[in-house]
Amino acid sequence: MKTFKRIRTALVISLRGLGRRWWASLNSVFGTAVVVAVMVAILAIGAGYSEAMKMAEVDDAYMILKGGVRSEMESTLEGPDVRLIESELGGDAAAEVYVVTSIEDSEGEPVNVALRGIGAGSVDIRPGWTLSAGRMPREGRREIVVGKRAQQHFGGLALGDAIRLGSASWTVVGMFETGGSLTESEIWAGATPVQDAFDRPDAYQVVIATPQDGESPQDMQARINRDDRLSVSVVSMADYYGEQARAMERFVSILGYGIGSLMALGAIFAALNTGLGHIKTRAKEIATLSILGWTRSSLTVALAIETVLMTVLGGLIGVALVHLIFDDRLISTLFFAEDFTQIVFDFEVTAAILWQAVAMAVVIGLLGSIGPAMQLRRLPVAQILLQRR
Amino acid sequence: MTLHDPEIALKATEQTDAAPLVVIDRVSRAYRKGKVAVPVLERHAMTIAAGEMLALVGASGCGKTTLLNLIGGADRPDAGEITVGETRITSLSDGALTDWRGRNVGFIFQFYNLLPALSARANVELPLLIHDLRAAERRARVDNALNLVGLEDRADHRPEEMSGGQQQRVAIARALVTDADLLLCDEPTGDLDQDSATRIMELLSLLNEEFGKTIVVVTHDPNVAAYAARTVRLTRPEAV
Repeated sequence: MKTFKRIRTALVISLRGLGRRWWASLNSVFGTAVVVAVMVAILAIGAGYSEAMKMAEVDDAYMILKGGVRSEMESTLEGPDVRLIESELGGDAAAEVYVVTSIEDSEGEPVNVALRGIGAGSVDIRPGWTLSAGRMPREGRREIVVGKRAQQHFGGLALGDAIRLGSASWTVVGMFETGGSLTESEIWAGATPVQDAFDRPDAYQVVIATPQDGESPQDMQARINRDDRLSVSVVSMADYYGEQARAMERFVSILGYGIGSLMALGAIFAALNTGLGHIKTRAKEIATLSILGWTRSSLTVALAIETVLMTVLGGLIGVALVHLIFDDRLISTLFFAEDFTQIVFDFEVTAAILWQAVAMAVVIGLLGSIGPAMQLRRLPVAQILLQRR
Repeated sequence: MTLHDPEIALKATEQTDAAPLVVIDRVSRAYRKGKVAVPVLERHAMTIAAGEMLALVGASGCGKTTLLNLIGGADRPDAGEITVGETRITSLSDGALTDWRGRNVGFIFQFYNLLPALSARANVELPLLIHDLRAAERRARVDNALNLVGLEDRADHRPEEMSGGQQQRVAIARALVTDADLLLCDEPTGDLDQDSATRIMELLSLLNEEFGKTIVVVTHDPNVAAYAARTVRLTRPEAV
């Protein structure tokens, strides 16, 4: 209890003198703020990407691709094969064309977007899909509906706009939403006009299908491949997008923690430097408290707590900076797969990222206080008290 | 034979009638300068009676401040024992020694050592913050201490707003506020003009005579030493 009281009072006394050394304290506060801001920003990109991927997953929907391929971009299913597959699966299947094409973004720079030529069941098989403005494309017409995020982020996709995709001009007739998932970065049209515009007569990339009760992707693949004319790979939509999300998560984690750790080293030295400066400027105060009855341990702990408080304050400022600059801002990046389309998603500062930011600030503070604490313990109290300053 | 000789120190103590408050028994202390041990005190022995006002004098480096710090538990001897009241302070752990020091000793330094960010009142209150006292009692004690040193009207001023003499009186109030029996003063007038120095020494004499405080004053100044009932002159041991 007495130790706690000593620590608390030493901390309060020190904080009351903060105004006299605010400039040095700001050094460690803002050093940590920058580190945390960079780490949070990078991790928020990863979290936003993963969230968009996760929302793109549809429970109980499987993707049927050409045998041996891993992405829609690589897959080609000829029309006769697609009809055999649809015949095997019954009504719960939608054949889709998937094309990567180039449009201009809001700044006039060319970007790759995914154009999906849909079948009759494509909407029904995605429960979160809603038409939020306009109407669906008419059969056989070069009309498109665009995802909300694609419309927000890329230019020239307002209702009524005409846009050139492939060899043809298309009219925007509607906008759809899927709750912010990857699909909202896509442009949809009827399958046949897409095949025509991109010279892919009667060719598809994927069939989206609903499995029978308890049927695994492997079971469905085996069922389809029993027909010797067919060779397909079946993957659940969750696994397909989950794999992309994991790849991105790995990438941004390495990037975020790697850059964050390197920068944290700098922040630790900033905190250490500040702490050493504090010991130097506060030597008289520390020696006085020591002679008046504060133990070295209590003064050391108070110093560490103060350092951590400064770095946590820096961490919170870093998080606030990220919020101020990036909140509600859409990010566009290449889809972390082999088709290199741009996907658009939100910055996602999750609770986990916040805790990681605070933890990093605490670690910076603790490591930064070790050197000053050691110096404090060696402080020649009796000598210092004899000095004028 | 020097005043570091135990026999001489003990003889000097025998001249006082009161029971000893401080017993220093063959205490040695040396500082290292590189590989050389520089002895400052060597088998030093003396006693200080309860209620005594004692001046420690001697040339620079003879160990006056070192002895003061050893008596107050701010430093530890290399050898020997020091007992203050019932407590053998040389046997205490670091934490216990710090605790004892906070309760039983008031320090007064040449350069005051007040915390610049705090008012006079807050500076005086400092030693009470680590004791189990209610705020009202702390306030009463601080008011009493400030009244005693005549600074009740400067309680809310910061050190930089006060003269050197006033700052030293704040330091004395801080030393008094825990009602410590032992006040250890290291050149308490060394940074003051003559008038301020006189007032500080008169105040210390008052504390000794009226309140029975045991006061040890380290000084170079014979005028300051003259306030003490007894003067002990220290000499520096030979280097080894």
